[in-house]
Amino acid sequence: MKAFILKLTLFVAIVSLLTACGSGDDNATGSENQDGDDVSISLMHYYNKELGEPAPTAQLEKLDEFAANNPDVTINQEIQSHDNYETKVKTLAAGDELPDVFLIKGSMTQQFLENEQVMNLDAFLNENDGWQDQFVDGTLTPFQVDGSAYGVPISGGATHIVYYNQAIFDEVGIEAFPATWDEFLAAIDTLNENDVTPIALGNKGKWVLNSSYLSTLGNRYTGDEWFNNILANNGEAAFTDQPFIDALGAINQLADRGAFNENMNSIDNSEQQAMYMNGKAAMFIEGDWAAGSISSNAPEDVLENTHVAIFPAIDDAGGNQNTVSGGGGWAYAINADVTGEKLEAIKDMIYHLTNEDAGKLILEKGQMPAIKVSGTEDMDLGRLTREILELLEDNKYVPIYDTILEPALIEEMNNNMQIMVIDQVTPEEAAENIQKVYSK
Amino acid sequence: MKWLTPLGKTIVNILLLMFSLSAVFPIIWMLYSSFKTQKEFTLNTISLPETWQFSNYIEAIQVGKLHEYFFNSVYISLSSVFLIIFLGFIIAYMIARFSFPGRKVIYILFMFGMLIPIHGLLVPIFIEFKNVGLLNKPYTLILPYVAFGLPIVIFLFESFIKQIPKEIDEAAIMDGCTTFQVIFKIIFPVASPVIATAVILSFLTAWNEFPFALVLIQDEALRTLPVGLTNFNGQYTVNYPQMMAAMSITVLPVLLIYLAFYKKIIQGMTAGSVKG
Amino acid sequence: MKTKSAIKPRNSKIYLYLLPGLAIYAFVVLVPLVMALRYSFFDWSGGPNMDFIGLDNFVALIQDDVFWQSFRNNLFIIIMSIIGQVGIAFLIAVLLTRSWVKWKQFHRTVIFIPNVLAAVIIGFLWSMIYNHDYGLLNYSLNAAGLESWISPWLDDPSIVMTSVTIPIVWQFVGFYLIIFMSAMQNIPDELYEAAKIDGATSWKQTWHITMPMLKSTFRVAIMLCIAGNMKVFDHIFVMTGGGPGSSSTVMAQYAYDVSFNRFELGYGSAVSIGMLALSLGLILISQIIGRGEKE
Repeated sequence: MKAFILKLTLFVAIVSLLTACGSGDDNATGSENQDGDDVSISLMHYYNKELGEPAPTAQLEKLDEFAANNPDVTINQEIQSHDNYETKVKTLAAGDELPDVFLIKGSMTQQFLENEQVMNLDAFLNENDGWQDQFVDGTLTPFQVDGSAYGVPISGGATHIVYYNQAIFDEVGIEAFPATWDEFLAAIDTLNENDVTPIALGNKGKWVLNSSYLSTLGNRYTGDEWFNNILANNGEAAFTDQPFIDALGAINQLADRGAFNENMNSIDNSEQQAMYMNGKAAMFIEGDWAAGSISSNAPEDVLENTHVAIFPAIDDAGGNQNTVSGGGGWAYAINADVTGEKLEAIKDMIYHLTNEDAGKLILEKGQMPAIKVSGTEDMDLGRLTREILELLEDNKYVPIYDTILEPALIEEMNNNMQIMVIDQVTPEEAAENIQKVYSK
Repeated sequence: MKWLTPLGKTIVNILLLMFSLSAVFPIIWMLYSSFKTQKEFTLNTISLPETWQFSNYIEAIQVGKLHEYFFNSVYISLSSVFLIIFLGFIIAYMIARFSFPGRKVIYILFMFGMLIPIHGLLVPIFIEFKNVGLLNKPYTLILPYVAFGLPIVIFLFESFIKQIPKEIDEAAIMDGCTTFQVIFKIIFPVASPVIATAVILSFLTAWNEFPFALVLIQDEALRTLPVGLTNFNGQYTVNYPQMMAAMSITVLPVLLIYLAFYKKIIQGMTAGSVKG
Repeated sequence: MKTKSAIKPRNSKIYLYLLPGLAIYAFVVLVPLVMALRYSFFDWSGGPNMDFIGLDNFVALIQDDVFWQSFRNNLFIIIMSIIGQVGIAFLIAVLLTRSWVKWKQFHRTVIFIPNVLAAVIIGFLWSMIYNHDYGLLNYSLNAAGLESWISPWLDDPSIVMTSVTIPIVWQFVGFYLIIFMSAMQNIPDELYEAAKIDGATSWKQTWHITMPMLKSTFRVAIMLCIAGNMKVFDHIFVMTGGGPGSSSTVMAQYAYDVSFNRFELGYGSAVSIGMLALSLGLILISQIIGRGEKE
């Protein structure tokens, strides 16, 4: 027996010896020791340099710049991939182990605030004069609760952009992008008659129909007031209201007309892009970020003929028609426990990452920043980026449902839309199901 | 009674061959896809690459930081397997051979572990590890891997050891062996086929494990390969060929271990049938 | 009960041997399990605020349609796997003892290989196979002139469960094959020789000797099948994300969604505890049926 215990101890000893080299870095989250000059900030994000996505690359470059300008500040970054980031940040929140600075989505704001884990940023946003007003309308809203902001948004593009292939349109005799909803439906019929999939849809991730379709259509039908009432939960609005049902109906109408590929629920958004790039579909609908991957991956003939538009005006719909869903996707939040010198350093850092200069860089890389950028005429922008920029000038941002509403509600919406477009439920039934979760 | 004609036998042979081929196809597909360009892959998923992009591998290693994570994975997996086999064999031996108060309860508790949905325990384990300061250490992951690896291994060992005649142990004790020696000098070698199975299974689980690796580790320097593999997913983009290249790099060691140990199992089996 | 024998060490010594493994296991599995059980009585969104709500989560769970639909999906996978994994594995194990079967060594080595791959890779591969436009399956059907069989394999709620189950079955056949092959090696050859003298065909031998001798192995295989398939997650998540709607959602995914997407960690724990209880129930039922047959 003694021999056994001896062996066990030996093993443990060997293991700990083997691993000793790896340890010794215990500067975790806490905001302890701030003796004097050196400040270390822990920051968690999902920017991966190697993937070359526009806004993340811009943020990394700005981070490096900040680090170079502030040698007394150490930034400890934990980098996760985008999908993992969400799981990780929620686990850290559950264990009250959040880093000093982290990224939040609009729909997370409420939860983090309830648990007092994020800092009120109103004062901060007013410190740099006029900064708060420089943000594009609608980009701060997802991160506001009762009028106070808890996040500083980074990119703030549209989640609804129709990318279409003019060459295919020409072939089947559609001269210009339809100007009315009826013409849009007619175009879909024409495309179908010519055996071209009108719109490539990859809704496996379940968010595409919500972010890129319903959020825009919903506002077109319901107007702004309805959504504010939904958020306020004041009993003035319900998902079973006819305008909202009509918005679902519009998507259903597209599906019934055969606007989408048959496997829309089993391919994801990158595959919908692939279908489009292969020339198999005349359009696809996604956010402004897709411009980047189209520009770098599409065959030349497809790229040359690609233009952008938004859903045309809908005659019998009650809301504004020159609207497109958009606003902040992710924003910087500050851990509520951070104080003192560290807080000041963090503010400097966040400002550096989200001010107009940073916005310019994001735009140059090919994504819409959350902050207004002046002098874009003189900037060297990609053709699609410029087209999107011009397109958005005339249109107002309306909320993206799935960045603002409660996660459980979003889940119900997304699931119902998935089965609605394959005729398992009607728009009315879908609306009822959604309302049921909402009124819980 | 001739129930299978020669034709029938041929058909069965062909079906079996098709099944076996379907088992190797994924690896082959993964290997050649890893040499395509992103464009080629999205245009046609099944076709062979037109030009072989060896650079995918270099980029895959950089993007996935595989060179950094590889040794972590090796070290974590090997330590876990060693502990699982070592501890599991002792426990299985005790449970299979002796009756003692609590024997049944202990066995059932371990069997219980096979049913536990890992995702359900992520948050509690995170909080527990945080409270005792076990997060983000070089040995952090070994603990859950060993704990969740033990049940199946104990189960396999226990049922195997029960079949080994007790007289062997008794004879060894008479010769002056200690219990520890009986377990590892006498019984362990006899059980080698089932140990080979256990090694393969527990290595696979540790090597491919993802949720704990994501949640319990913060430090880049301590990450393992499955976490690296997800570096290929952007918010809106996935680079599939690079991911395939990375997957190929990840799968290769497991495949080698499998082939190394599988021989052992087959040897064990043929030895068994010859003996009979 | 086991008889006391000369080789049995003192109880204290036995416990000492069990201690290291048991300690790790208790720390990593049992303690968090109790913690999860505790959370399931709270309304908790992950943070300092926890509200005790008694059994409310479990009341909600019992009325939760998606949870029960997920359970039905798990049951479907389990039944298909018992027929598929255990059945096919046994068949192949028997075939590999036949003299007229060729390439035995190859089959033995290769059939286990899918087990080596991570579930994510398997799921990804099969979603390519099922792909409507360029997938291998529809491509082959087309080539074979069976255009009418072409279906949106992962998009039609009435067939999606079958489509996602096939890869799971396929992946683990090799695992059960190993189990059966090693169990069959323990059947004494004398039994077969005696049968041969009696003039029994090889298939009669299988039916009358192999099958009965492997009864406990079957029980074990079925138990492993239940345990494993109650926890499946990644394969299906990669192929369909649980959709369309929730038609291919399984319990593990549901638990994950509730905890990590909806942020309802209390209810998420209740879902996990519910899963565990249902798994235990199924195993008990299978053991009782198995025992009943034995009598």
